[in-house]
This record gives sequence, structure tokens and C-alpha cells, in this order.
Amino acid sequence: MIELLRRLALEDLCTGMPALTPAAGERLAEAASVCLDERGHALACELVVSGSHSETFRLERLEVSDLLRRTYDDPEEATEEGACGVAILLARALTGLSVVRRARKGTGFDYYLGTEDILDFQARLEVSGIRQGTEAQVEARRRQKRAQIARSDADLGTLVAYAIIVEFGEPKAVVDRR
Amino acid sequence: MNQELEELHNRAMALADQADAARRRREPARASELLREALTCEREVALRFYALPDSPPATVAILLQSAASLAFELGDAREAERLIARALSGDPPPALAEELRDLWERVRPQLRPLQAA
Repeated sequence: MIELLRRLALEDLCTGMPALTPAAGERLAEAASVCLDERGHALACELVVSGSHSETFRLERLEVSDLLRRTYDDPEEATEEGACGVAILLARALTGLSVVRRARKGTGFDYYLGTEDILDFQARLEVSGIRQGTEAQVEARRRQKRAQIARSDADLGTLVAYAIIVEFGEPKAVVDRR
Repeated sequence: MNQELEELHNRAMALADQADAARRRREPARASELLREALTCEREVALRFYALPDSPPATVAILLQSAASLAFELGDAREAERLIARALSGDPPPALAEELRDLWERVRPQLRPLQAA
């Protein structure tokens, strides 16, 4: 049955997007693959999406070598980057929008989504990653992101915000659109 | 954003990526050097965009915030403060204004030793 599902192939990140270089995309794809491999998932597995969108995808990861595992041995950093990789692909599949702008925030990046022919953003993407979490932990993270996005409600212009929480244990993703 | 500024902004973000990679390789001097270059590019984009008529306020605020984050990361608290102040002096959307104030709260403790010197 998994063959019938829409594909989310992490290798697609390696070709980049308007504001994501192939090198940056590859890093996100590798981090996500290490997270999935560490949780025992095969090269292709099901990603269950719930929230404002409901669908199950076929999530395809990269091969993971020992070198890759050693490269991404900081679990927190790998989970955060891996979640961004999955979320960017998921956002594109669900909304048709790609990453058209990044902005530095803390020691990471904020991601903004838009259409590839008009290089200005139309939506903001908020991502959160959990390596292995319970239903309650995912829900708590979702509430936290909702509160952050609620602050945006008043005005980011008329900007839509998507919050995507990625959990690698099952794996699953919860999407909120505001 | 016009093409030239878009390219400069993308260069700034690519330099920040390279700085992250250098940090992971435990090359702090190289990471700082790359971050400094990223800041130079991002600050130029933000200030030129700020000066353009009809710039969307959200875009201006995002770029100034990005440049301020880079300055803060480099330990250049005064420059971060200047960029935050400029962003707040415009008309940032409320959510971004709140994030800029949050950033300034983190910058502020680093300014006190500068003031005392």
C-alpha cells in the first residue's frame, strides 16, 4: 500500500530551492535520514500527517553510513535540522510553496515560503522536531507553537503561518495553519 | 526584492551556513570570519531595502532582525542594538516587533559592560 502514497523524498532537498542552496538542503536531508535511521525506520516508511491537513505520505530517506551518524552525533541539532528538512518537503507537498527566503535567527534560520516564480514570501514556516515523543509531548509542542503563531495573528501583513511538528519515532507530523 | 539584493541576501545566508559548518569543525576563528562576512552582506541588504520606498514592512523587519541576529551572534552588541532600533523605528508587524524586543532583551546585558567601560 505504501507504493500508492504520495512521495516525500529527502533527496529532493539536495537540489535546493530558491533560498536553500543544495549544500544546505543536503545537510537537512542527511540530518533527517540519521534521525529516521536511528529510530529504526527503513529507507521508505509512512509519515502520518494530522492537524489542519490529513494525509499519509511515503517518506524516503537517504542511506546512512557510520560517517553520517558520527557527523550528526548531536541529537538535538540533528533533530532540529532533520525536522526542518521534513517540514520543508511537507509544506511544499501540502501547499505548493517552496522556501523562498531564509533569515538568521539565533544560531539557526527562519524559513519563509512562496511560489518559485514570485520571489517574495507568502507564508512563514515554524518547525519543531522531536526525536521520540509521546502523543502528549507532541500535543504540548503543538500548543507551544500555536501560542507563538497566535502572536503573529494580529499582523505579519496578511501572512499565513504554518507550524509543523515532526516526530521521528512513529514518524508523524502535525500541521497547523493560521 | 530586486535581483541584486536577493542575491546578496542569499550570499549572506550561505555564508552563515558555512560559519555553522566551521563551528561544527571546531574552527571558531573561521566561523567568526564567515559570520562577519555574512553580517556585512545582510546589513547592506537590510539597510538598502529599508531605504527603498514601498518596501513591505514585514520584509524590512525580517532582514534587519536577521542582520541583528548575526551581529549578536558575533558578540557585536552595539551593532545589534542599532539594527534592532532601526527595525523598531519603522513599522514592523506586531509579531515581528515582539520578536525584535525579545532579541533586544538578550542583547541588553551585553551592552552594560560596554557602557561601564
